[in-house]
Amino acid sequence: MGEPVKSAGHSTLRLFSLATKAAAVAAGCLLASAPSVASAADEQATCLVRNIHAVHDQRPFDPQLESLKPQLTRPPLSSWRGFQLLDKQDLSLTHGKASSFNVPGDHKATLEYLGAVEKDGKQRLRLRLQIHDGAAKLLSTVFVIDNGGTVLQAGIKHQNGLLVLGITCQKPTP
Amino acid sequence: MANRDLQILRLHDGELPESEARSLESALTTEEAQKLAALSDLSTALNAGMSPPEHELASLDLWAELHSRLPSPEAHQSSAVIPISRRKTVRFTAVLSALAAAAGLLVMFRATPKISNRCDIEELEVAGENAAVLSIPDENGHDTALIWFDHQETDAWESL
Repeated sequence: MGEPVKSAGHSTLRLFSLATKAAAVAAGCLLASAPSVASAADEQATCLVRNIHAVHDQRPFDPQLESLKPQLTRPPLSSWRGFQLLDKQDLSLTHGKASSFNVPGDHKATLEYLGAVEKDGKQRLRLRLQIHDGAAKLLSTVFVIDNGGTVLQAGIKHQNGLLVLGITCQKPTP
Repeated sequence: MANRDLQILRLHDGELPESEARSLESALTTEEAQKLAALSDLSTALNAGMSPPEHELASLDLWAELHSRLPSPEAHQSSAVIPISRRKTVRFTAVLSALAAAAGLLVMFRATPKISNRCDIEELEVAGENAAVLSIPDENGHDTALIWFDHQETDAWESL
């Protein structure tokens, strides 16, 4: 009995199978590497969080809040006559990871960067803000702001006044 | 007119002195006497036609006739003159309209926040009952979103 003869068709199939696998691996490598390059710049954002104490007493305007003066001196915040910066915190956010920061009154808050959004040729940032009082969640919001834009949050009472959070976020410059 | 005729006219009108008038009457010719008589007849006829009889003058009432021809008081009321009370109403209405227009402009241009329905706030959950998203304009016309929720320190907070 002689050795089985490999048909020419079988060899062709093996070659075709190897080529297909190689192509799949190459495509996989390409697909895996491309998003990582593209998202590297999208995964980071920096935010400046200001804790501001608004009181009804007339006080000199805190010069550290000069950039927010137009907003703080217009209704409804103009009902408060004194604004003092309690503290400011710089946060480096990574996409999908919530970073916590302190809010006066034993509150805790987190800010999470959810990615960049492009609208009308302008780059914007999507973020989630959560404020906790112990285990209780007081506020949860997802908002989109322009790169370098500011959002204000207010309503928490604090020492005969009001707490105002001023959050300014931007993407790091390459 | 001849000087003699003028003398006859003055005699008829009684303008001549009495001595001159008697002298002229005695020297009148027949024709001149007829002229004087014709002037007297003409004068009598004119006086009779121009002057009504005494009994007609007594019953003459000029005011009644004039009054009947004057415009009626109703015609005055329908004229373009605005009564004082109506003028006040018109003025008050004009002031109200001006105030309404000014209020409209104030509402339109004042720098007060408006409820924003933009998509900047994609989700919002709060533990309280009241929450609002306001838009505060700055001097450059850019809006800043303000997320507001009422927090009472005495509230029993519920976890979301």
